[in-house]
Amino acid sequence: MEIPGIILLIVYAAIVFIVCLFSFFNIYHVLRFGMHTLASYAMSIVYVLVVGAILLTTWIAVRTVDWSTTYTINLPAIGINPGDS
Amino acid sequence: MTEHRVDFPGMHPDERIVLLQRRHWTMLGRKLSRYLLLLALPFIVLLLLNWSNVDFSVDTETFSGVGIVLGISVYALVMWLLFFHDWLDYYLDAFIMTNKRIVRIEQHGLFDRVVSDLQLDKVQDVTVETKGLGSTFLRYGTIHVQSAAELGRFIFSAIPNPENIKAAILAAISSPASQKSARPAAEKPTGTP
Repeated sequence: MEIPGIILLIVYAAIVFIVCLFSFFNIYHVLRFGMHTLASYAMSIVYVLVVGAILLTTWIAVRTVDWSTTYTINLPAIGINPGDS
Repeated sequence: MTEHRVDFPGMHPDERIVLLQRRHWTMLGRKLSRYLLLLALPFIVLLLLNWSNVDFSVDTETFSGVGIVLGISVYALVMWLLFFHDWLDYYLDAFIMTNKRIVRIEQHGLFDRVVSDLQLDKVQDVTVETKGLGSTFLRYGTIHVQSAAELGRFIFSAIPNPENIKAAILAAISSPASQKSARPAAEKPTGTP
């Protein structure tokens, strides 16, 4: 089975988008319903910085990957004999 | 009694916070330690592989190598998001007593928030419930505030030092300032003959 490398990137980008969306909802809740204290701002900033660090580390790890490469995956063969009952 | 210089959404301009309490820190610690452990899990596995002399390296030239890197990244992002979400859930739950009322804020996940308030002059009875080993030693419990209205009980669980909170509520409802502020509202005519 052949899978283009770009598929991995698209799936990853979709998950990152969902994480970013929920991060936005969470930070919105802190700012909208939380008390305007140092703790709420500090925690939000730390959260964004850690997300940024994870994304940056990932980018450093995969920046040399050629996404146009097609990978061949050998799945274990599953044989079904129609004659068996 | 110490006054807090913060405000909360829905706070009236003439109000001041006299008591602000969140749930006991163990409620947060219990949730967060789980996510911190899960967040550290991939790194613990990598350390164990290094110690056990297994020839393990992630080659980003291969499909599985790229998959492992992106998989660990997604795992870390999701764990960190859940960690932040649980902190938020803890942080937004609050028991607030102002000079006029008691406000209970309960955040049940995203987009589900319950804010109840009870005027101090409506408080009839305050009950503290400390049940279990942890709550006895760590001094937290559930506080029940009985109102005169049909709203019933006003409950806030896992509150630290509930006896002190009870004393503060009782002091506030018996203070002359609270009774004075309650009287005009009670005597206000309804407008219907």
